[in-house]
Amino acid sequence: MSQNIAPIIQLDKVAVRIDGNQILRSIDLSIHPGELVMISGSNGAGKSTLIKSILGLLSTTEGKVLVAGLRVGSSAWRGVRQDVGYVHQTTVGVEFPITAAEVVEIGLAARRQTRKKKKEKVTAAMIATGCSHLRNAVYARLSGGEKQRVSIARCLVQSPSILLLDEPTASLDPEGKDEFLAMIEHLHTSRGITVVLVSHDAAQFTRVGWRQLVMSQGQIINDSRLNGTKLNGSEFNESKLEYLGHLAATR
Amino acid sequence: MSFAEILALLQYPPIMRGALVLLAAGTFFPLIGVFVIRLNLITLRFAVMHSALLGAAIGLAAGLSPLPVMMVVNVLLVLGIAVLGKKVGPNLGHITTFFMVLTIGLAFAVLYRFNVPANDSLGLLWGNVFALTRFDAFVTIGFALCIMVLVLVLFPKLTAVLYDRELAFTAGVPSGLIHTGILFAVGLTITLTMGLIGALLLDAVLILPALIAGVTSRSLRGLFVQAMAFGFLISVVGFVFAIGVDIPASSGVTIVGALVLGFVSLVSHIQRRHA
Repeated sequence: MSQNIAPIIQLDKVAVRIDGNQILRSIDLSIHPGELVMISGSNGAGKSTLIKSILGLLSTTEGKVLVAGLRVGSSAWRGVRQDVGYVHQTTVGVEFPITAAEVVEIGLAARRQTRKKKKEKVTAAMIATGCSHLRNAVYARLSGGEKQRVSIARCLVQSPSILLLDEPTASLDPEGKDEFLAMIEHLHTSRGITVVLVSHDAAQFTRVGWRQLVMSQGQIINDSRLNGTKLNGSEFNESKLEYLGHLAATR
Repeated sequence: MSFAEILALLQYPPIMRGALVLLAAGTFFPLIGVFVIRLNLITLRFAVMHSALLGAAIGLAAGLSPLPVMMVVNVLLVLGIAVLGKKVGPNLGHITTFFMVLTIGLAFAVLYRFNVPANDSLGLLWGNVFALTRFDAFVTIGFALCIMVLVLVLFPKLTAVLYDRELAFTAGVPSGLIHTGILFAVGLTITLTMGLIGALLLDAVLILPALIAGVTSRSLRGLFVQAMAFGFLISVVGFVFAIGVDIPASSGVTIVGALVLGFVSLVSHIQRRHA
């Protein structure tokens, strides 16, 4: 990955405070176009807050976030914010009547296009993620893996240059996780999409080619690109323990 | 009462006006009901009704026409809820409950302090679909049609917000603005029509068809279309039933709506058990 290319996501001394709690602490981070990034860390480490700051869903209390060179929250950014696809852990109730195709179409909600054009895009995205046969199925009744395929299709209709995935594999079994990650890697290769994936179970993450960041207590405590290493499960735990030990000692 | 006699009754302008208003409200107000149910705005509905009573009390105490004062008070209420809602998150239950209790307390304080006859104020909440003037009928039917046009034009954005506000935002939808707009539409619908057709009938045409469609539909488009279809059906059958057994139209429509809801819920429950 050439580091001469401008970062597609850049965080500069970003801090976020919510209800008096410091969730993110002075984070500096550059992610370049076409990178596959996995952010791991225990619950409460600040992973989801980091993702929401990049999406503009949360305001930063200090520092700035740039996406494709545009400051998140600026009027120029508002016009292009759908270039970032977002998948979170779905909480749609069983009683909510919405079909898989309608979920995918939500990605086009702000686009002024004919219904025919939208339908074509929805179909193409659902074929790309292998869920076109679920078109008229009730979304809430799909399996975890099917729901995630539909969610990725929803992102794809936005023609995103970045995918932000917040714990997308949390409800999947090991086989489902591998299938899902293989699909993401295929989309990354075939479409050049930058992928940032958040997961709390880094210890089970064995795929190659991913830049791995470890977060703890609102900070990035390890970056495999900076130290040139790829963390495996035990290294991740050691890294975390080392940081916590350091924190306890300084207190 | 025979069908011919019911048709003969429709020759009377107040009955015909009432029937037309009921059909328009019954067919299009369920569209707003879908948002009330799906965005969990039931407490907002109560808060708006209570603040309408406060508006009516203030209007009568000040010697003003109650309806405009009711609307001003409700616009202020929805503004307050929208502003506070941004600070406390998407669950508006606590805020709306706070305003619901506060406004009813203030309403009774105004009624007592300024010697406003309670019946005059409460009478505005009951309404009577057969006592509408031509102007009232035009306003209600026009408003119902406006709701349908707005939902048609903004359908993709509205449904995105209905599904998930955060995902709607990341798809480029101004979800905060749309959500505030929905709150205003709900407040305006309840305020404007409560005094005209009554609180009971408003509930029957606003909430019940949306609840029924929630049980029967499998898609978002189906939810809106079926809510309108059930609203139309309940209004027609309820109206005929009310005239047939000589009870108020609001009671007839509400009873029919409740029976239909009970029936489809039962069928759905049996189907799920045998699935």
